[in-house]
Amino acid sequence: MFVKKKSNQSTPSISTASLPDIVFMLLFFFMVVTVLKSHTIRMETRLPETTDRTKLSNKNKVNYIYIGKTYNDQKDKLQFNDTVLKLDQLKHAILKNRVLNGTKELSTVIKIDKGVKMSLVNKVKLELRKADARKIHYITDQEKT
Amino acid sequence: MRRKRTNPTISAGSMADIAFLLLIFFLVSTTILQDKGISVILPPYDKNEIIGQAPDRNVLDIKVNGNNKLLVENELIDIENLADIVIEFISNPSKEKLKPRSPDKAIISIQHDADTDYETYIQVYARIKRGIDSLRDTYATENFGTNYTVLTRKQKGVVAGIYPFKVSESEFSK
Repeated sequence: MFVKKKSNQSTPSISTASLPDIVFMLLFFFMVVTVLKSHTIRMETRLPETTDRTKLSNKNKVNYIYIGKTYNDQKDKLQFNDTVLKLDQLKHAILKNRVLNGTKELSTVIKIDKGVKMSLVNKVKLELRKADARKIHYITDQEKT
Repeated sequence: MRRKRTNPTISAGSMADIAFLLLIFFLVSTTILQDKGISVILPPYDKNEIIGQAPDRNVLDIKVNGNNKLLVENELIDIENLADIVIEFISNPSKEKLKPRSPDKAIISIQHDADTDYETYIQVYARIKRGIDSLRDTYATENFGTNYTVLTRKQKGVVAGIYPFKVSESEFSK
């Protein structure tokens, strides 16, 4: 049997020349993937928990509605994208946004606090129907089973 | 007077460090958006809301009161059982007289109080959805061999025609 002769070569060093390239690639990946949040939510939205959640298919052209108690005065209020609105201003805001975006098919992502009463939710839904923004998506948390 | 100039080269040695710094910044600041939830298509707005009349046997009547308690067909039930009740009502395996003759005729009616919490409402909604989804899944596996979500659009149409998502919502009038 052969016994391998011990080589007297030292271990070759790993070239780090391509390290910047790899890091840049990762960097670009994260830069592309990152979505900067466009609005600050001015109210508390503790999400309810459900099972069977689905992903929103088109994330680009959506309106956001938040309903919850504001941090200032603890009253249930409505926020449309970046502005806190009164209920009767909602329809106008949706229509205005639709004209600005030039598309009809805008879905609305809705984040509502657990404790909001249905009377308010219903009024918002009615306004959405009046504005013909009928595709809505309630955001929920995953229910632990 | 002329000086001999050499083109200075920019050292690229620190490039990796800069890139790492940026990378770490983006890694930390990225929050992967969790926009998962329940999609709903609202009915079109009509000034004079039509109050539909459906035969009683086709309607599963769910009432939620201001204390978030559930009444299904005038029986107090636990919300955990709702999905099973929905499945049983729609499929009607034992051909009961008080349940629909065929699944496509079934209508789920949710009535809630003005004081019902949104949390309860959305959980009721999610459980109805789960019930109908599982019926669709069973049908899809039996006839097409896969889950409902991976069917083609045409196949989905077939299944949804048999198990439609018919939910009517209203608020108690006082």
